[in-house]
Amino acid sequence: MDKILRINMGPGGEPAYKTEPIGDFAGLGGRGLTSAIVSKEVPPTCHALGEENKLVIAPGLLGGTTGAMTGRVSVGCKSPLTGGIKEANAGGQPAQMIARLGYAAVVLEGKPAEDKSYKIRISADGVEITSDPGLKMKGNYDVVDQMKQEYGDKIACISIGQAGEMKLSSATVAFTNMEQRPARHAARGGIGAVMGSKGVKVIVIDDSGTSMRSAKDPEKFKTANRAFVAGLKKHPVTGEGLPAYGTNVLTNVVNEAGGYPTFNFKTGRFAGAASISGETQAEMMKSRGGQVTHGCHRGCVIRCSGIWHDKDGHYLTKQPEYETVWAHGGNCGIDDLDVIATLDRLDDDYGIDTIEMGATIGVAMDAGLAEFGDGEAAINLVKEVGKGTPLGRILGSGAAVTGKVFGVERVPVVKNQAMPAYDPRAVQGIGVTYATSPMGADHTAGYSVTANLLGVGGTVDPLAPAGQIELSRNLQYATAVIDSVGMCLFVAFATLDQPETFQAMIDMVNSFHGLALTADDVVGLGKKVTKMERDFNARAGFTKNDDRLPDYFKKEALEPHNVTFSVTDEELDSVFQDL
Amino acid sequence: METKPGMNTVTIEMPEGDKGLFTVSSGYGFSVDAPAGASIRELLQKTLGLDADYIDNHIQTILHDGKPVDDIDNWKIARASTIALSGALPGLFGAAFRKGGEYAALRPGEMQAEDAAPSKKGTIRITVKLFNLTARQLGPKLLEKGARMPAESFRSLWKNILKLDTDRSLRVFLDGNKTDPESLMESIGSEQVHLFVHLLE
Repeated sequence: MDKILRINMGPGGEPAYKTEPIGDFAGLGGRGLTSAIVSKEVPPTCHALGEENKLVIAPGLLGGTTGAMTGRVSVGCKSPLTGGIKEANAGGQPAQMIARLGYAAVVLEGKPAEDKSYKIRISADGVEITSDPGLKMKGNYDVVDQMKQEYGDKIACISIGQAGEMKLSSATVAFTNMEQRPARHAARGGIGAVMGSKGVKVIVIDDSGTSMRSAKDPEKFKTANRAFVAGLKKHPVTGEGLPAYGTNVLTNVVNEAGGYPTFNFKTGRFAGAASISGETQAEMMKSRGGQVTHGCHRGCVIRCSGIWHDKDGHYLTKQPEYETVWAHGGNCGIDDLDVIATLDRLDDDYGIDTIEMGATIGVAMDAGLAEFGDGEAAINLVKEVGKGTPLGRILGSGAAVTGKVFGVERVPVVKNQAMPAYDPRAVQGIGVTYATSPMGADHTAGYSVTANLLGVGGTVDPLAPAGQIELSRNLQYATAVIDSVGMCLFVAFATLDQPETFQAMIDMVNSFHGLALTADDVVGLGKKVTKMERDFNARAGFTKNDDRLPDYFKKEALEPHNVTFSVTDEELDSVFQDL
Repeated sequence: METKPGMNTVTIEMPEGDKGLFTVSSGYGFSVDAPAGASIRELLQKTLGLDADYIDNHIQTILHDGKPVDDIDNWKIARASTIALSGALPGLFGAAFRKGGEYAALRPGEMQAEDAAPSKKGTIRITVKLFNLTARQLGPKLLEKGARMPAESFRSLWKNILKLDTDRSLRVFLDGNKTDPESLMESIGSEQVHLFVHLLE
């Protein structure tokens, strides 16, 4: 993993590629690498769909190894949705295979002169770039089926659906999972539109003839990995809760706590929550012959995903995650898991962010385009996106655009990106992260809860008024680190409670790369990545006024607890004062 | 159908291997009677019969009328209300709402206040909701003994149970008489249901 593959889609009318040493980017992986390349090489004020933008696909520092949980892949660019820097990550098989081929990153640059659809095959033999008109406006599932017919069943695919080709701001980049289904998505920020602007429909990864990457100190790496896995398995979240119910284990409890955004963020409780809860979902999957627990990539030991079968027992989609179930469910007043799973399948096939799409339909329902709770109408609205009708293109451009077009005031976005499944009035610390993350409203930006436990970056009094400001900042730094290592964010639960598990994670990085990083170094990396990202945004024209929630969160009390978002603007401005 | 006061008894016999019913049903909430002014710990130990180890180590989040509870010895229940129990939860939400967790600051200030002091003596009705792993672990014992729930909640639950019982392995009795599962909802006329679930050997 000491080289970068650069594919320029536009020089002299035909695409070309070159491989170069990793150079100044050595020591970075995943989000650290995508943000470093974008920050250094993309003009912040460029058009996100123009030739100057770049799409960077990078496995993490431990990608392609036998390390547990190391199969995440980061995708970075300037976002067409937010106008700022973007990193979105996903599971699936491509990260491990790109890393085994020796690439720290694949960078798509330039723009083709003509409106063509390209497929790119990357293997140990080199890179083939071919125009294929037959791929145009195909869904992700058909694209992958065609690639399997052409290149066999040992490949992995990175693709876009119709939404990416139409360059819609909610478009995703799809990654195939272990069953070669395009069910894992780097979803947020419209990164699929950037891939579409490069004319790239699919990248086929074939790692035949390669082997696992070797650690500098194999014995130490093996020992650290074993300790890390043991830590994950013994922790109640990663060893019990997530494998049993997936992330949707949250629905019942967030709803009971009054923090479940319902009817486009009008109230904090949904009467139909039990019908779409993780508990009900797991039992339905069992009764239909689906899989209740399933890894999104090889080497996953948490296995929080699953396989959803339809009423006739046939595969429909992967288990819709908590955020998807909320976005298409409670947020739109829909309490039918079959409707939600159908919407998830359509999203995956068209290549649309489920959070953005669900939030957008909520706004559309507020605008009167459909009634809250009408599942069939929601399905039809998503199909409009796939067909590319004028209405579909509006909806596919996200909640902010849809709100403007239809004159809706209640639009739950920050930096134009839709909020996920936690109302910031009920969980104020998440609101701080929504407001201040360089990525726009993002629940995963401050997901990793390690800093306080270890005392790195200073300890925080959680009950002090400033506690949530400091916590949010430290959590965002720690999250940037895990995204850079290429690990699933869910490892954070075990590292929160078990210092030996956090140490095992650092030992894995050190023994693999021959380093001697300390916990402080690790937090320093998170700080460095966040600083690069905020700096890019500042150069793109962002100010502190962009680090705000929409006004109505301060004015409208959320039932049942009648709380408003009470963190002041001054407090929000202080989150990153140390950068 | 017009509802009438009182209570229908629904008894379900199910194969032992098919315990999904417990997981799904527990989230709808069951009614129990508890002494007014009891602490959360007293409710869990004396009314629900849970042992201290389970309370302290397996129940990770407790919500009282949606408010997270940290100090279960001093948080008193003064009025009819809802207690929800959960195992470990992922994410920032899970960390913020964990019982006694370090990330309580991420909640709004209003939710950190304790409940009011008890205002009356006697017995109050508590709705108990069991979520995720607590449903799987505590549900069988609770439903073997029988638990009450509003008929409206039972109807919603039964709709989901019918979706799950694809091989129609459940045997259902309404007030002691064997009943067709498909027509059970139409046959319930009371405001409350007393639900029993027995596992068959």
